[in-house]
Amino acid sequence: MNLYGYAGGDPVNFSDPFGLSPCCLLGGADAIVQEAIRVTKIEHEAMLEYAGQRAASNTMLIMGGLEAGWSVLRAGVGIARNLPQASNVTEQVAFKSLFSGAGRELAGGASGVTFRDAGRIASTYGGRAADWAKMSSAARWTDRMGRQFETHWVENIHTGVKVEAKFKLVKDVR
Amino acid sequence: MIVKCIAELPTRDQAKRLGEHYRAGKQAFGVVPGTEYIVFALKTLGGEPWVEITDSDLNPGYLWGVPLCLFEIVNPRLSALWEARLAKNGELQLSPPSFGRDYYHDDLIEGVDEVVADFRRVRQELEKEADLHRRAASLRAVLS
Repeated sequence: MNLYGYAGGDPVNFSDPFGLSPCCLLGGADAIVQEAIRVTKIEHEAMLEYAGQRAASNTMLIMGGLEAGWSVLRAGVGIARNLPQASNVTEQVAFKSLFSGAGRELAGGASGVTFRDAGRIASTYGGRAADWAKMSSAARWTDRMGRQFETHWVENIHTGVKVEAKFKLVKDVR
Repeated sequence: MIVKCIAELPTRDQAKRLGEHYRAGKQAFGVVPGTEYIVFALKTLGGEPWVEITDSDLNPGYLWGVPLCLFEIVNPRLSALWEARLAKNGELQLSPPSFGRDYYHDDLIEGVDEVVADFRRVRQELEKEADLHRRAASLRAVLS
């Protein structure tokens, strides 16, 4: 067993404090998602207060959304498996950004810009359409081919609940 | 219009003025101090001025709003492409006419062909204007 596999056998030059290197990405990221689901469960109480009983039935849908988003993240991991072993700081920032909540407000919410899916999101996850904003991470993740990805998600601007997260290719290499 | 970033986030006083349109700790703008940005649209939110910008390295890119207080104005000239209108929320907007369509910004993010083509055209025009400004500024610097 290679104890330094997370760093491509080079622990002096590479580290992986968040467990996101390709060889342990699934394990590390799984932990992050489990934490997000745990936080969502805590937010259940706030949702109850905010949107009444309707939110209670929607909490499971929110967790479903997280898990659906996670399936997309797993797809991203498929790409990551082909990366060099070096830990990617930007990748870690992108992951952290997704769950820490600091992002650009692109549409909906208080942005003054209309958001096409706001009605569907509200009917699926609760709250009013005007409460939901489309967000993007302020950081990007660059893969070894130079392609750049952002995390995009939909966020309730009052409760901070995030749903439908996805990796989005924003800069391809031609 | 060209602006230069002077801060990544609003100060506490600025945040207070931005009101509900800025959620401290939850919202970032992804702007880099010292970097110049072409302004694609100028608008008010809660009476405060905001600009819409994009990342210069993205093609076609997408738009997002940033409070004007995070910038200094480098070129104050308004774009010839802009028109003034009052949005449904009563706020003032100066932007290319197409930006006022419902879901324009959202469709741009999602890559709707017609909107992407329009945005490419607008972007090209605004970049031409910015380039002219930079050349004129260089010429003025040489002559002075």
